Amino acid sequence: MTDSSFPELRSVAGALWGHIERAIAARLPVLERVIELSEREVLAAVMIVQNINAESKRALKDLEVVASCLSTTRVKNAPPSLGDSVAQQADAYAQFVGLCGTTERQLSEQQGLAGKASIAVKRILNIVGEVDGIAQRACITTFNARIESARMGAAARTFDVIADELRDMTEAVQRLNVEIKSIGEELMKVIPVMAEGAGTLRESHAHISASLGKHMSEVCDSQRRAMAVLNDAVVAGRARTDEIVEQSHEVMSRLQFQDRISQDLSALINQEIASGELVERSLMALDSDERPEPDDVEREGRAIEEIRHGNIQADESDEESPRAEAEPAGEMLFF
Amino acid sequence: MAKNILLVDDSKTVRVQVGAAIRDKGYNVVEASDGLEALAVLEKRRDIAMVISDVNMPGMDGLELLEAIQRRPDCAKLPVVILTTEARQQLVDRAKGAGAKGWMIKPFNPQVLLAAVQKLAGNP
Repeated sequence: MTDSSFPELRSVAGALWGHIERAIAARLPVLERVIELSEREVLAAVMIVQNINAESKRALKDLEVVASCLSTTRVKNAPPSLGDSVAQQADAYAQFVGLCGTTERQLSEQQGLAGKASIAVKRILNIVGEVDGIAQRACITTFNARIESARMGAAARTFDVIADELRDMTEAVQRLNVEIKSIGEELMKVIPVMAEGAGTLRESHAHISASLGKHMSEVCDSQRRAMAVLNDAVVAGRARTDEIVEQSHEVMSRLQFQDRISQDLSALINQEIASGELVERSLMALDSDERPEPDDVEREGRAIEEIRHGNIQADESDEESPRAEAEPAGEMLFF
Repeated sequence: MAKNILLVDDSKTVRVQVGAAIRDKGYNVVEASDGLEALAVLEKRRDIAMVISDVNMPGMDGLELLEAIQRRPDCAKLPVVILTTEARQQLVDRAKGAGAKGWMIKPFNPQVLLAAVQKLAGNP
């Protein structure tokens, strides 16, 4: 290349540089805006994923609290759970059923005893009837004894005394009979009422026992069903939360890659700007008719190379800076 | 009192992600966006238990920060782990020579990072 070709070279280089400068100036604001938006969107996505994670963990915790409230697991020093209360109610009901059984047996015995008492009172009234009959025969005998005594005159005075005694005894027996009969008739009225009352009480107990039993059975079934549903929900919730956490790790990894791409893009832009500045300096040197020194050219070339390798990972084929045989992404290499 | 971990990275996204993972386990996180800011934090605070730093940052990069920490007598024993996109062996060797305790390539695995924090800084 001769000295006379320098003005043409300068002219061509100047036009080229002007074109490059205009292209960079037009694209730079757009690229910077793209990078800014990308970084903002990545950050927003990261926050959203973290919020989803936190919400799912909170929901799972709430579900586990509800499940523990319904369970029958006894926790030391903790207030009794609903499940424990239901279990205690079931125990109390079982004791009540036992007592009802005892009461029912006792009422049956009372009914039996009432029946026996009724038979006994009837026998007493029969005996009273027989005694009454005997007393009437004694009265007739006494009457006959008086007639014979009157016929026998004074010799039968002792006989009169005996007849009088017999008459008094008979009258006393008849009075007692009346009283016993009256008592017996009262008893005959009361005993059926007692028996009926015991029967009614038995029926009431049986009815209450059956109702409570049905109610307790429904409560226990409801509690068991609720526990089963909640346990299924907790298991599903844990599986789902694990899934969400795993997927969020995957999303975070992708977002980190995207963030890295933004940084690399930003580094590329810086590199292009620095390269442009070097080109501009070189053109200015040409304009001043100064010929660059060989050392300066070599130095500028090295500067461009350094910028090119500055913020970007080295090529795998770069022998001067081989990639580490280190752990893959995500693993820790300890020293 | 929870232990303090100094997290140094110029990317806010990375600081948010890594910070959340570490805070979730009960540690406190102090953030810095480059090496100079991190040195200013270490100047003011004596309660930093561990440093996690990126490499490529404006101002002072992570390896320069590591070397600066090792030169300070009051911080020479502070465990430093590098968390970076870089995988060049010469950088890994430089970090190892400067006293770093570990090197992790992004994207990071939260469980692995937390295990390293627990190993080097102790329980929260």
